[in-house]
Amino acid sequence: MKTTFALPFTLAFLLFTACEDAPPTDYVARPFIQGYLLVGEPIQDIVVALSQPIDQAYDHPGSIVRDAAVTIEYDGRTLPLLFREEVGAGSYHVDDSTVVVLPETTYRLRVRMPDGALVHAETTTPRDLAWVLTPPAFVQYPKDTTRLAATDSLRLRWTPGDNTEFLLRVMVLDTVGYGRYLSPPTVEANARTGGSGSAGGPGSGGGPGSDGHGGSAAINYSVTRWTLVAQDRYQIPWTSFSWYGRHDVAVFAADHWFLQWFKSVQFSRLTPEYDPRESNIVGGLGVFGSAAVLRTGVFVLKNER
Amino acid sequence: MMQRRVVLLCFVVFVGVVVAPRARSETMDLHSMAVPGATLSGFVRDSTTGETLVGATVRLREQPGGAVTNKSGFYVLGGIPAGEHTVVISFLGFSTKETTLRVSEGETRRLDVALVPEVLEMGEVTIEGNRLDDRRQISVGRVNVPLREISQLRVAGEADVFRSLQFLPGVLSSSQISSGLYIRGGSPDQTLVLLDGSAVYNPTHLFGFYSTFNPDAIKDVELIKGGFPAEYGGRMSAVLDLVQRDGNRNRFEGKASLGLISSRLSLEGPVGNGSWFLGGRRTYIDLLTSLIETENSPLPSYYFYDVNGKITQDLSPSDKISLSGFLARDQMDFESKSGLTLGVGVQNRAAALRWTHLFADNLFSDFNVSWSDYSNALENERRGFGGVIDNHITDLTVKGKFEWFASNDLTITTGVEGSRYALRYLQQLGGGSDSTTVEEAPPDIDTEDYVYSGFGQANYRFSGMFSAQMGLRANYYQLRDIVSLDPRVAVRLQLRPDIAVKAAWGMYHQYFRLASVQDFNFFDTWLPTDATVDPSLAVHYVLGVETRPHDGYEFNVELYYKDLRNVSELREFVTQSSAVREVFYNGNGQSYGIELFLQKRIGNFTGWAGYALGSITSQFDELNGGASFRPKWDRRHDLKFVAQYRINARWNLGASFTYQSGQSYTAQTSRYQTSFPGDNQGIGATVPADLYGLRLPASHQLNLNANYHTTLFGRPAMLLIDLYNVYSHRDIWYRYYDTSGDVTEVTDVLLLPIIPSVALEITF
Repeated sequence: MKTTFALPFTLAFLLFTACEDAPPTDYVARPFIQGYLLVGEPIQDIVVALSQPIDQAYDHPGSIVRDAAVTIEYDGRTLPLLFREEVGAGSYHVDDSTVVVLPETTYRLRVRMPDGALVHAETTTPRDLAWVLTPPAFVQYPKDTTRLAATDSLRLRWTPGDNTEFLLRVMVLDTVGYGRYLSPPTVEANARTGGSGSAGGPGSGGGPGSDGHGGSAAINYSVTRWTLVAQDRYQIPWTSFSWYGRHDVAVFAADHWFLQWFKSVQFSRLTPEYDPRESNIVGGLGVFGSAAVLRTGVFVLKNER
Repeated sequence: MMQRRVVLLCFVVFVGVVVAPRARSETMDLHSMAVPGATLSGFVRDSTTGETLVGATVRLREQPGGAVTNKSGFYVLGGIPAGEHTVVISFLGFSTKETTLRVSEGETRRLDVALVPEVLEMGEVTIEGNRLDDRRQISVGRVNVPLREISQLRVAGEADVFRSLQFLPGVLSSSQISSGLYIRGGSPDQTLVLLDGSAVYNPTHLFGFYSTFNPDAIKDVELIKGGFPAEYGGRMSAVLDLVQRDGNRNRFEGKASLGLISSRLSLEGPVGNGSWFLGGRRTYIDLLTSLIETENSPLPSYYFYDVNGKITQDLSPSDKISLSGFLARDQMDFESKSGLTLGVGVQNRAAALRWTHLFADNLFSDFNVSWSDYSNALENERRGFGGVIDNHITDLTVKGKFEWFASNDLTITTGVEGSRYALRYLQQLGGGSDSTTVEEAPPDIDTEDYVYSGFGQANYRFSGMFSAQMGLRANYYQLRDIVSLDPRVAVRLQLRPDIAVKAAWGMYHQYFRLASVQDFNFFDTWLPTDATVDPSLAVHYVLGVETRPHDGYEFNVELYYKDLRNVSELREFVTQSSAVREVFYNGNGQSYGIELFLQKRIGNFTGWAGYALGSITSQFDELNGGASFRPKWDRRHDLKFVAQYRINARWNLGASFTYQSGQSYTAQTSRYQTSFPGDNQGIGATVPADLYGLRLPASHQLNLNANYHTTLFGRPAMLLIDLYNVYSHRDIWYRYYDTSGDVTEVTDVLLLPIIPSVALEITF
């Protein structure tokens, strides 16, 4: 009889004591650094912030550290960086805009946090890029994209340099004005192309490439789309253009850390998790990377013909 | 390299010189080394179908010990004193047969036996015997799951081999929707899955939900959870050895089953001097989803099917040849309103030509040429742009094995094996799908590799109490140009007729690694060991006690410790690699635990209760800051109950219950926001705590089933009624942190609720 009752009691005990582990509450704010040096461009947009606890509402402006001592060293020079509020929630930059990032140069970033902690990282900038196939300034969005051959879309080709993988960014520059860029100018407003999301192109459905939080909202309202390209050429599908009008199309030959950070953020199956193996920040979180960038302006004409 | 080849050559020569020439003549005297006495040998079959029975027991009534039929249904019982004896032949589910015969000293006699299935004997039946009777067998870590139990352990009306095995203690799953077998700390790729001797890669359907093996086509399922003998190689954790049915040798027979998810049909019958079998099943999820009208978001079309076929012929009393084939495919197609087409296909194909030959009454040989191909492919296309993933592993293996039943005390098994592996992986994403672009991108992996192996093992009974198995397996890996040697030892001490103590130790090398995402068995890619990594190695230590506390009951306890070297975890963010080291993190691990297993295999009430207490730890320099951690599939407590009760000739009832500690997950402690040049919004990212440092709530589930035997159109039929997850406890599949808003939401994705199902099965 004892045995008969022992089993159900044991089972009941197991079932009702089956609690999960309590989540950790020992949050410690950690410095977060984000900086991308783009060859030929000023040193700017270096973000210094602190991580915030997961169980509280995230306050992005509140995370920004405005009083850190930030310097950058390269070629025997040390430049102080200044904080400015006007870009995003605030970032650091070199005040002299004539100082531009050099190719094939090692830059060292040093951040002294207000509490005295030192955070540092370094990046070596890649070689410059050049177009092999010069992209056209205008592309005509087709009336019927389903019947148009792929090869009729925007084709790009560039010198590979030392990279085997590249990042491609398509950014709409004006989601409002359209006619003002035409010759002669008109008052026609901009409009969406209707081709939201894409397969295999920049901005694939809120996955790698869309710059929002993911999901449909990000697809609809993002102005920037990214994709990883494993060769020195690409054909941008029509559906990568969410808007008509002015676009900036850029190819990034990123250094290892920029590239790995991109993959760890954009290729995460769920919410990106910080992965120290994909980060080069010593003493904190984040990335300090660099890229040689090749840009072209492309105007997408409406499919009105 | 030369030296290594010489080592292997010596091994092969040993097999060739010692065994093969002696075996060339059927008149040779292989008994000269044996103990005096007569020898009986032969095949044990099912009287109704002629199907050979694997694991049937043959013994003398007046003597302890006996012989067990091998995978071909063949046995040898030697050392029989001259005189009159009663031979007892028994097999689970069949009436025991007794035959009285008189043998003389030195006589070798062929005794083929046909047993009558229990269900045909409506009166008093005697059922006895199991695999304890062969004292040459050490049986460490070995579990045979009766097919009857497998057919009763159903998920949503579908019987499944792997899911049945998950009800054994020490066999874990990563989640309730995964059929992957995590055995004693080993991941699914560390289990060797053999179907009629052919290795099967990624044997899953529905992205891991079901296994590819149709229970109707299988006649024997043997799982060796650790300490397996030298005849098995290539994997470091466990062996699952499945034998396909030969088919009914006496008459044409068919079985059809109509279920909630799929339907099955199997046909079999005699042909020539043998039999044939053809069985298949197919889902109709695609047909159901096609009936659902959806305006803006069309549903993907998904189906899977598998087909097993086999034809067997007896060329002579000593020669049997069989040709078997296996095909399993999953296909998902999707076409969106915006013109996106997506096709995902996963396919397993295998074919084997097998010849078994008796060179002498006590020398059994088995030659097998097998071909196995696993592939997965993805194609997506939208308005001329698309991507392609095309992944293959093709294995062509030739092997030969000899089993020499030298005496009642000694069995020597030896064999050689050579495999050619072709591995190809092409990934072309984000490009134009016109042929010029794809052709410009060479495959990421396109390689061939050859693996040669030889093994020898001897099972020897030193006394009535003590027997041992000693074996050595040698492998030569051509691409890596190394030889690995795997010595293996197992011993058994029969303390009393009903109590035996067993122990095993062995080394197990694994050459191939699987790049796979947990819980989603799709883009599984097998990679060989190249110059940048060493083969994985496990050292097993097993100690067990096997008892029969009561007639019809078995109670086993096993302790195990497994040392794992050079095991791998996939690097998730690798998009290009030229070496295996770049694809994986490599580290070490260990697992240990204890398993208790009480089983009742005979009678109206059958089933088992099992409990396993286990621990797995891993240490990788590049993971968790170099600190040790427990893998996701570590479940400390694992409790299982399976019960089947035959009320009468019409009704069978069954229940299964499982309780496991919650799976491990990685909690997040804090949050930051990151972006890329030109982004107008940031992406919320989180900072993890210790890798897999916390556990989700415990996993538990109760399933009930009932079978009602009746007739339909005058034919035997069975109605199968199932209730999956009776109290609808929905396990957490995975937990993630949703950072799409300012407030981080901890979101649990839940698994399946209660699912009732009904299926109908008819035999004709």
